[in-house]
Amino acid sequence: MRRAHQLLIAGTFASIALTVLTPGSTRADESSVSKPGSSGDPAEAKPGSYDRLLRELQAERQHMREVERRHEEEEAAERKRIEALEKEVSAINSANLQLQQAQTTLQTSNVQTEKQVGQIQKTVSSELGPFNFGDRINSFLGQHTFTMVGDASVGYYYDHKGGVNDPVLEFEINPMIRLADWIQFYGAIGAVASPGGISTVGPTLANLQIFPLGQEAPLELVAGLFDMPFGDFYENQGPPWVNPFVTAPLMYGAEAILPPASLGLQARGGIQWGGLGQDVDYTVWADSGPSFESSPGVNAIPAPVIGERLNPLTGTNIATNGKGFGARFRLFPVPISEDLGRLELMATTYNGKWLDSLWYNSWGVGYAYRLGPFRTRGEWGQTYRQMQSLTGAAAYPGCCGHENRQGWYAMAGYFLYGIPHPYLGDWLEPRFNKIEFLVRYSGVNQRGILANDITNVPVQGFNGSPSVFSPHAREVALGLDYWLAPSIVWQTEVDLELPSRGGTLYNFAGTSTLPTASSIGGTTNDVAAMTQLTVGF
Amino acid sequence: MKSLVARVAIISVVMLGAAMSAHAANLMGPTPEQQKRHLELFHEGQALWPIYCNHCHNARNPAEFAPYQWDQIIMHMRTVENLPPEDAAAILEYLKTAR
Repeated sequence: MRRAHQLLIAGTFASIALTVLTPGSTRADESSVSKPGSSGDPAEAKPGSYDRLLRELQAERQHMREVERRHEEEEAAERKRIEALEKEVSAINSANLQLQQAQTTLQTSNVQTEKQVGQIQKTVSSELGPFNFGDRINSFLGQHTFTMVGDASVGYYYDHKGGVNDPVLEFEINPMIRLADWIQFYGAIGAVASPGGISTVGPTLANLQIFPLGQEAPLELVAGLFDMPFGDFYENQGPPWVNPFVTAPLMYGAEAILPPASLGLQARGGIQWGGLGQDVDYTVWADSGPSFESSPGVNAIPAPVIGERLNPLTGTNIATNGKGFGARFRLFPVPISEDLGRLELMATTYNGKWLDSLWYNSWGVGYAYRLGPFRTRGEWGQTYRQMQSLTGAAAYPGCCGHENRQGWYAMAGYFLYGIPHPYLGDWLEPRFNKIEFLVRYSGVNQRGILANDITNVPVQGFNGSPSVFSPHAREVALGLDYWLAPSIVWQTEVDLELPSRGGTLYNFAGTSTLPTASSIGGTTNDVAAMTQLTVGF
Repeated sequence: MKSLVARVAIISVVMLGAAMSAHAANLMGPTPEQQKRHLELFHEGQALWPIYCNHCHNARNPAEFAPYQWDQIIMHMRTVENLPPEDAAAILEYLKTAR
């Protein structure tokens, strides 16, 4: 544009120069601009034409300057617009560069995030399921893995009538050796120390837990020495950190009406019959049968007598041909979706022979229920023991009937966290929440007891009260538990022993093989208090 | 004789390849279906754990034991408490994962 303008100006100047320097042409050119009717004489027209030409040239120059000025203005304005546009382009380029950098940064960050997510997913996945961390540890440890749990407790017991004022100590360890995913060994070894010394040492449980059809089938076998699955107490409530009371209920205590452990084979399992939480389970077993203090080899009692205690373990009983068969069924009718807690209803029977052909029969029912801070459970059981028919010199006073025993208990507990307590403060509230109040009523009925069994030496779980050895023992236990952790508890318990009158007291005096018998009249009440710290590990 | 050797070699290579593939699959971790199943089990166990365990004793903290120990403890508790297999699996999944 600018160049064309310069050419135009140069051309104009060139044409003017040619006009001035070439007269003929000028004249010819002048003739073209002369007025019509002129004579055409060059001598006459020359001065006027020259002035006119000068004026035209002047005007033309002015016009040209004007044009040039306008062009310069336009050019300046155009230059300004170009500069503005260049600035805008520069700004856009800069913004674009920043966007590209930001995009690159985001892409890099995205890649890193994807990597991190992938690593997290791998980490999470590694702890889930068949490729999990635990299995890798198991692979490291080998197929045979070993774990040990157990408990220990130390306490101080007081009993008024028995004159007990003594510390007690107990521990038990439970080794578990998993041989494969379908078989595991479980054992129990413990000791109970008391003022009388260490009273129990050695294995009390030793069995194999077998899954013959794999982990998915509701069938497990237990072979060996196991807790008696009569009711729930021996199997589930026995460990001190599980039992919310220091003592056992009377029917499972010092004068238990059922053997606590047995040697045999169990088949058991559970299935879900309805919604989640609605289960039914079964346990059937065969064992070596119940045995009593008078069993051959035990030698605590010289002859079978009504009221003698069951042995802690059923032995092999080869000498007595003892055998036992039991079955327990439990029903859990409430689905967890109802938010009504877990209710258990159960029935058990255990029958067999205890001395060659003498029958032992028992059955019981029970329940357990827990909803939030409230829990309760109870059982009722009855046993029948067929006694020998003794005549002549073998007959002892009051003998020759059969022995019937009944036992029961009902307990309830309540954690204080269930009570609204908005004003306790940060320090007191968590401690308040760990407190549980408990109450239990239990009793036993039997025809007689044996004087030789009565002891006031306390051991863990037994308060040392002689009143426990009454034929019609009754006990109210009040408990206050402070749960330091789910398996660490400081327990305090007060037992009110309230035995009823009646029954017979048998006694083997000296080396006599025949017991003496005396009626038990009125009995005095007793009170015991215990405090105990128990740790389950 | 040569064909027999060739067959044995091919079978060996195929078996080796299958074994390596299986090993590689193990190293790659669970499939999405397995992860989904584990997640379902985890949530089911989360719901069952406080109710089933608290029925007899206070529910123990999952962090108290290592996963391999939970394997053994649940094996024992399933036996003692007659837990249905699928419920025991769910509680085990929760205890091992939640720790």
